[in-house]
Amino acid sequence: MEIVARVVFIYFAIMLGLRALGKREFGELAPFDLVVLLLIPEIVSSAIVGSDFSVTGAFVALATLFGLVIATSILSFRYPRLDRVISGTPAVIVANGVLIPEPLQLERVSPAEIHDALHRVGLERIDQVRWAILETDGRITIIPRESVIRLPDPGEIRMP
Amino acid sequence: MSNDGELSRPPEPPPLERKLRLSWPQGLMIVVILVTVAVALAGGLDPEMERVAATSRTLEVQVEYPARLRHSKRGVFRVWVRVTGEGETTGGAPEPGRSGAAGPPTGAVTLILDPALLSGYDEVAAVPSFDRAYVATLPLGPAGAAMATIEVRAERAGWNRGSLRVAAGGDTVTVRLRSLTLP
Repeated sequence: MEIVARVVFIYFAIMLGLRALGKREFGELAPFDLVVLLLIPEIVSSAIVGSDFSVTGAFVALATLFGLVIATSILSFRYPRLDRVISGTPAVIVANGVLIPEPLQLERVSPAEIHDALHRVGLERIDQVRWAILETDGRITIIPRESVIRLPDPGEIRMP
Repeated sequence: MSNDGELSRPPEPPPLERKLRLSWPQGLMIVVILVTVAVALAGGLDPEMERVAATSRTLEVQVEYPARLRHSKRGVFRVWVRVTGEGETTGGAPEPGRSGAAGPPTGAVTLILDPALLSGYDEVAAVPSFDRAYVATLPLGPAGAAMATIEVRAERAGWNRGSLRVAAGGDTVTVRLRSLTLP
């Protein structure tokens, strides 16, 4: 019973902590982020199982964790508001070629990172962007303006 | 064709009826998980102590023992013995000034543990210590009472079954014990 309570507590503590870190921490793992994510299990493992290293204890802890994950998934799907609380909402960081400062500052996204995302989809300037969206998993999605979307001319396509 | 400047935000996703559906393996796993958590919450997988008592003509024995332990966890068997009646113990003698029939018993009782009961444990330590394999002599206190503790560490998963015997002055009490070690 004690292990169930420990897992529940740690699960919500980690969820709150990762939520507080923000979306950027999930999208790209910088060395610092990797260190944090590797240290978390080291820190909490003894808090969860204490001195109980039995298979039974591990099984109870796993069942509790999976139960929480399933419950979170079901409730998030069923209740969109809860989903927004748990996962957050996508943030528009560029609209019609203009950077929107507030979400960029809140999520600590630099203009250089937006440019990186532009380059990955073949764009070079921010005024070619209709929307840049920081998704809930930390990735930046670029939607170009319709004026810059064009199909390649047949002569541009080279077969290897 | 839409204009680039028409919207201040991208369009929202279309609505969907949020009805929960599960495949049968998912449903089965959820049941298994829920049952496991419920059993754990009810204490069904926690260490548990039990107490049994037995009496004979001259002996009262109570045993508290770990009926359920988890692997590598420690448990303690506690045995309380009270000799009643006429002090028929090893070396017992009536107290001065009283009649022999009414005097408290003195001397010692013998505690014998079935090796099968302790075979699933390691680091077995008894107070008073064993004279030989799982046999201890318990000195009687002033009221004809004696106590022993046997501390064990659960090593082998499974049932440990065996008897605990207390003998004094030709009288014997046997208590059957059963202890489960969870893996």
